[in-house]
Amino acid sequence: MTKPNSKRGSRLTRLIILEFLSLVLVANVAAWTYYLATHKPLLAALPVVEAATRSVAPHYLFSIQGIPEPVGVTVTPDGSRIYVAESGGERMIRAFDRDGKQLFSFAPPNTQPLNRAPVYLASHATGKIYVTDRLRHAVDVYDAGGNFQAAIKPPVNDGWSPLGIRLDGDRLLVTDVTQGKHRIVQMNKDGRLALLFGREGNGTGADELWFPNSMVVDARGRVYISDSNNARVQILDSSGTWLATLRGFSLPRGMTIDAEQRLYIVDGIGQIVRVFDVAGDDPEVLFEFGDYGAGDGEFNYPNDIAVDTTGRLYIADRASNRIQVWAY
Amino acid sequence: MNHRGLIVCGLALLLTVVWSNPAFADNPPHDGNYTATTDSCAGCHRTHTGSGAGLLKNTSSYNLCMACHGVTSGGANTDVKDGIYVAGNLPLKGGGFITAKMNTNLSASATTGAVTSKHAVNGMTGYTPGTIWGIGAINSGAGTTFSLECYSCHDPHGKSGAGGTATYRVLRSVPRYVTGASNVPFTVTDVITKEYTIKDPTGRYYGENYPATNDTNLTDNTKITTLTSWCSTCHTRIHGTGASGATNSGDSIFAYRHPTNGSNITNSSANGAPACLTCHIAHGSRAVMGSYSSAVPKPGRAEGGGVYLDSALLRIDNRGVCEICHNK
Repeated sequence: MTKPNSKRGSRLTRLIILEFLSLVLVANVAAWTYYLATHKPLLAALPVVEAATRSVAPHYLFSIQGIPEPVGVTVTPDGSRIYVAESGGERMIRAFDRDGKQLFSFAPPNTQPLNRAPVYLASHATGKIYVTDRLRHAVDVYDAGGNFQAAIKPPVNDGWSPLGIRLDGDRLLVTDVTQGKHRIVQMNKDGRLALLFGREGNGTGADELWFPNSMVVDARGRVYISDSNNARVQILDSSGTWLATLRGFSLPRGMTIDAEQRLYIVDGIGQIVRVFDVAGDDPEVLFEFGDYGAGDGEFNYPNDIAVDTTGRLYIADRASNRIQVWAY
Repeated sequence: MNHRGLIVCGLALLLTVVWSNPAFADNPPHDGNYTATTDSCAGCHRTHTGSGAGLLKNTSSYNLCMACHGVTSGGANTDVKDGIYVAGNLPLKGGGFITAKMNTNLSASATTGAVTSKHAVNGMTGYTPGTIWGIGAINSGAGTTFSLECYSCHDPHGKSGAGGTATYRVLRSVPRYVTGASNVPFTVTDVITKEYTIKDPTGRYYGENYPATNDTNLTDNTKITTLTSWCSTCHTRIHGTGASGATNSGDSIFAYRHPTNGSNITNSSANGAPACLTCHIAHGSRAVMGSYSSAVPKPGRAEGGGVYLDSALLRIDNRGVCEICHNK
């Protein structure tokens, strides 16, 4: 008496299994088609899902290959465009889309590779790109399309050798490594330049800096400076008063902070990215990722890092001639 | 203040200057000022898990050095790739490894161009081990193959000068891992003042550190002569003294050799003996060779073998270094 129901049940079960297998097959074909077309896993193209906890490290997605010795990277807030400064080859600034496809490249007008050296970059909400040039001792400003707009120079020249750069709203922060005057300067919207912090020194005093390469501002207005040659990160309040020091680095270089108030610090010789939680009163160690090598997710003298609002990370992997893309 | 007080103050000041000796001290990490409980070793080395020779954490010492001394000069003003001292954009005395800013044609100013010869270092693009020309005993061949590293010549730890003093060039007494030589260790006595850049405002390299026909600023023979002894720790049989140009050394390749002991070089005529650095620079030159000069083969190879275009680290185009003194 139960046979007809049983037959219907087993048919339904087979149907469900068949549909499931069909779905798996379709998904597999889609994933392989996408992979063969883009050489990237399909998951990389899906929307980023926030990590369940803030202490979970990101994972490697893919790399943008073939960039000669990239040293600086920035990303527009919406994550649609990535700009990279290369220190090898033609020494250009290259623009990529989110998938790593190169859109165009640009350089200061009337320059040759021999007399320019773009290093670090910052992107403004308006789409403008700011680039420091070590050989030209300049901060160059470009529009989003890479068209040169201006070169920023201080009104009074008592030394100007910009290296690191950061935009904090309309405030421009620059690490000036003029010989004898390593320091952090800020330029407001009116163009006035003012000393924020520091003097040249080997790290004996809290305000001594030796080739500061980067700085970043957290949600509370605190400023973090990678005091590279002194192997430390200095933390200031918004007025430039020293608060604390982070240690445990070989050569801290580029830094960034994501929307979750996670501070990322690239250790250029440590071949690692160290991550701190800076949401609270005191920085707390969260995790670290990367190791030395040339494989996926391994670093070969990384120099800079940028993050977009979705949490995607872009890391300039200098000696492996690539930008690594990581995500949560 | 009475006379006694003045004398005491004066003596105190003098002793402070002498003991602190800031002119000899170089900047971290090459100053050699490691404490008994230093933290610095772990910045670059791994005691049991090193990936590279010398217990380096990472395999490429070249990439390690270029983290600070490369094009971006993120940790030093000495951009050895471009041969530029970034503070002031002045030419480095040693020239450059990729490009150099030199006035090799004795015109009005220096220009930047790709180098035509260099002491190539392992890690550079397209590197193959070179030859140490003239190393070893009489009749031991043209030279031996050697993989040159930055640390072959420079000691990154500092205090490599006479008596363990810090020197700004951190030159070793004998290039590291050079074997099979009849070389004699030679500790370079450093100059009082750091001299990273050439003095000539037109960028002419000849006349640096030695008095020559057109240079009245430099009269110190000691520096350049001692460096000849240093070069000879490797290029042993190239070094000639006295009448070596007229006396057969007995070597089948380096039979008659121009004297290089730097004696009597205040005399700009042919009676003087130049030093190695009278005619050559250490890192890389962009001098251009003409028909005859580019047909000069490397030691031990047959004449008429072809066109080499190698400028042999010379300071002036073609054989301008001959003409400076011989004035034919």
